[in-house]
Amino acid sequence: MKQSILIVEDDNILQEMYCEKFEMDGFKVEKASTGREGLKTLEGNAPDIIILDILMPDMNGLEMLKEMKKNRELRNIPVILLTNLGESKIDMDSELSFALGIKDYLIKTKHTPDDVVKRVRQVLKLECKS
Amino acid sequence: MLKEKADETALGLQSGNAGNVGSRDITKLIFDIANFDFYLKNMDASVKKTKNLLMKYSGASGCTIMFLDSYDYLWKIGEKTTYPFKLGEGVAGWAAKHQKRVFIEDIKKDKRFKIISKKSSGAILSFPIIKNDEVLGVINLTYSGQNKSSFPPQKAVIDVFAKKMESVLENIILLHEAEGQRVELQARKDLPNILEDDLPLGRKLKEIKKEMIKFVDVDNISICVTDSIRAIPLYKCTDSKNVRLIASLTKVYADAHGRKRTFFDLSEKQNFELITRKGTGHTTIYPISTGNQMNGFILIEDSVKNIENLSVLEKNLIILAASKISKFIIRQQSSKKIIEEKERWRTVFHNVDDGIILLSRDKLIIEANLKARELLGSKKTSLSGKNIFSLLKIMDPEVESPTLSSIKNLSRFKATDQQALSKKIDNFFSSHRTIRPKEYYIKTKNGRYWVMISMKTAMQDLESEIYGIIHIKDITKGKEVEQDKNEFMSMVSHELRTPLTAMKGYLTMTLNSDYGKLNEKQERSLTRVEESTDRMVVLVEDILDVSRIELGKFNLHKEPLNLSEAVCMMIRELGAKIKTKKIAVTVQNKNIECCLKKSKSSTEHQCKNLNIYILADRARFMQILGNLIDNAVKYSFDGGKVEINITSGKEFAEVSIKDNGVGVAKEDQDKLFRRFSRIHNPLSIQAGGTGLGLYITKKLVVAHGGEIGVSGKQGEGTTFSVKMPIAKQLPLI
Repeated sequence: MKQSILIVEDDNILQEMYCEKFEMDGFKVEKASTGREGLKTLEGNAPDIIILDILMPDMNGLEMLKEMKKNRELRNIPVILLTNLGESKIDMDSELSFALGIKDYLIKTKHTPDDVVKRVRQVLKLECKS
Repeated sequence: MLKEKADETALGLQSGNAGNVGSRDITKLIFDIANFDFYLKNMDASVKKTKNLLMKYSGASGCTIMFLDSYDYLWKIGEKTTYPFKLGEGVAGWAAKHQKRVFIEDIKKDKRFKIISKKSSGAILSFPIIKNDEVLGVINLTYSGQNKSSFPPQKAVIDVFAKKMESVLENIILLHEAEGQRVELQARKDLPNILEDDLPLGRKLKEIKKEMIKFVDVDNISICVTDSIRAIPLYKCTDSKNVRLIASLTKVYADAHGRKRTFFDLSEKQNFELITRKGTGHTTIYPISTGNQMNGFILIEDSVKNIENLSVLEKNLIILAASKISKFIIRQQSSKKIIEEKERWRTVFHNVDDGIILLSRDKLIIEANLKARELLGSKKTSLSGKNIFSLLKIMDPEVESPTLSSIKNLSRFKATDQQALSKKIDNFFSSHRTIRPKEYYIKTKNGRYWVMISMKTAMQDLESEIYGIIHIKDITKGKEVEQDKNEFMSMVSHELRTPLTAMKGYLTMTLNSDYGKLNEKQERSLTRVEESTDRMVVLVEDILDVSRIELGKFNLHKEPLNLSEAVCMMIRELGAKIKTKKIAVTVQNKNIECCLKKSKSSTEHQCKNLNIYILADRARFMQILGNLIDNAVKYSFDGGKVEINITSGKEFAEVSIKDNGVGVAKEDQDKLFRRFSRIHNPLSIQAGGTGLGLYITKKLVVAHGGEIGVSGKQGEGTTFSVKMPIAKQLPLI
């Protein structure tokens, strides 16, 4: 069975790029452009993993995460943050991110689409094991 | 006694020779004298009464009573005008000098005395008034014309008179002295009172003059206060009609002053400056001096009196007035100085553009300047006695930032600076140490400010009220600009990174043959595009780093790091580059095969075995190492050599990275760490780079409390060495 992924990314080109990459790698891909849209997509349709951008209009990634944590069904979906936010991973407060159940934190310019896919697979493998 | 008697006999004065004064008269005389009111306070009236009595009973046609003043001048009393007789002048002088009672019938009759009597037909009786062997004065009785028949008067009358006269005069003199003392006392009492009043100097001089006029009997008193340097009159108080005289005196005085002539002590009469002008009487000048400085003079004008004729009382009063004026000038000068100083201080205090707060020992505000008031409350409230920390609240600026705020809201609150600051204050009070300036975002009654707060202890004088000074610098404007810049940079970076991500993503996917296999030419050209994109990414990151560094906006999460392990990791990361350029890299003189191997073989731990731990932010330190090792590789010729050595001291560990590449000329070495400075050399064009790497590296090293240095010669390679503080505690794992 195909593994499903939700990509929440506001930049059209990047959204398309990651979608294309994951589809090529055999994922069932859902997409959303804002946090609110992402939450809507999640209703009754929980993916195996979520790739989440942070800086987005309407509702940003972290706000969406907070909302997810309130929902028992969505609480345990693994999330990888994929962002180009002006702060590096070190500056970001990892404690909080991980408290919100973030599995990893990737930088778009640093990690190639390949890297992202690899990381997603790793996380899913670990999830399966656990 | 014997001698006196002999003299009397020689003069022919005999009892019983008293002439026409009968015993009835003597009884009357004694009665009169007994009723004589010698307690009359008015000396003139007393003397006049005595004179009348004397004339009545002695039958003399004239009587003069003269007193010696303390300067041995005889003063004729009982007449309207008083004029001095010099001692030794005339009969009276002789009598006074010799303490003799002298009876003179006629100069022709007795040649023993060289007494000149102009009235050849008359006679003079002169006797001194003696008290305790001191001559106080002389009484002269003249007999002329028809009165001559009653000369000499009855001896008994004279004796009674002389005795009584002595006691009368004694009493009069005592009264006079008492009156003098009373007047002087009153004057002494009055003058300081005038001075203590808070009157302006001009008014004060007038008051002093008024008091002086009461007791000093001269035509005119003028007081002039001048400036002490050029003797320019500042205050003049004069009734003198002779304005020109005052002006010229001021000039004389100024000249004298200019020549630094000593100006006299009033207590010694020979030191009085006497300026006498013919026709205008006597003019005497008394200096008003404050220490060594001359501050003016008192001018006495009189048609008759010069300094020598002034009474002790008058002189004393002048001295007193002069000294009071000078004291007042000194006090005025010093209080003026204090006021000026205070004014100067206040001007500075309130016009400084920084908040300054004086704190007392009990941590309360003594005084706050206008800026501090503006920052902490209102300009009108004094803040005295308040606790500074009840007036300001430290805010988390990130929460307040409009952009990105929602994201930042989610991030953990930093340890409250408020607590940190109050802790600092406590520290400040307990340790007496200066607290270095630190930035705070504060909320006060007036709004929100970015401030720089520092604390300094004041002089360690236990008596001093001021314990310390808090300095609050308002940096809001700068911070706003900074924040704008910061936010701008964040947005720019995000906007730049997004297209770069797309470029890089699609390129790698294409190059990974995700869209089918590429031919050689396609692959080569796209690889160039990828390289350029990578450079662009580095550039964007570097610029962002620089902006963050310059804004002081990077946080270091320091932890103990194994130095050799970090070096090894970095070499592994740069492995591809090293291999391409065939650079021989050694760590501690060992080649780095161990580092390049990914397998966890035992050899890999050769590096770890150094067991040197530094205290650093892992990512930032890797960036430092990466920059330096990457540079060493970049600026080495193919097949070059890079030696990395690690040494450890007590406080610092040092990594040195030595290459045998192009090297940097000594004069250029300082430039290396500047922004966008790129030293031109054969490899720099090929090497690429932003010109920001070493600048960032240095800033990062310094932020860690470390040091970075460079050495080497042009053409002989370069050595960079980084000193990092050693971790005192090792990681738990």
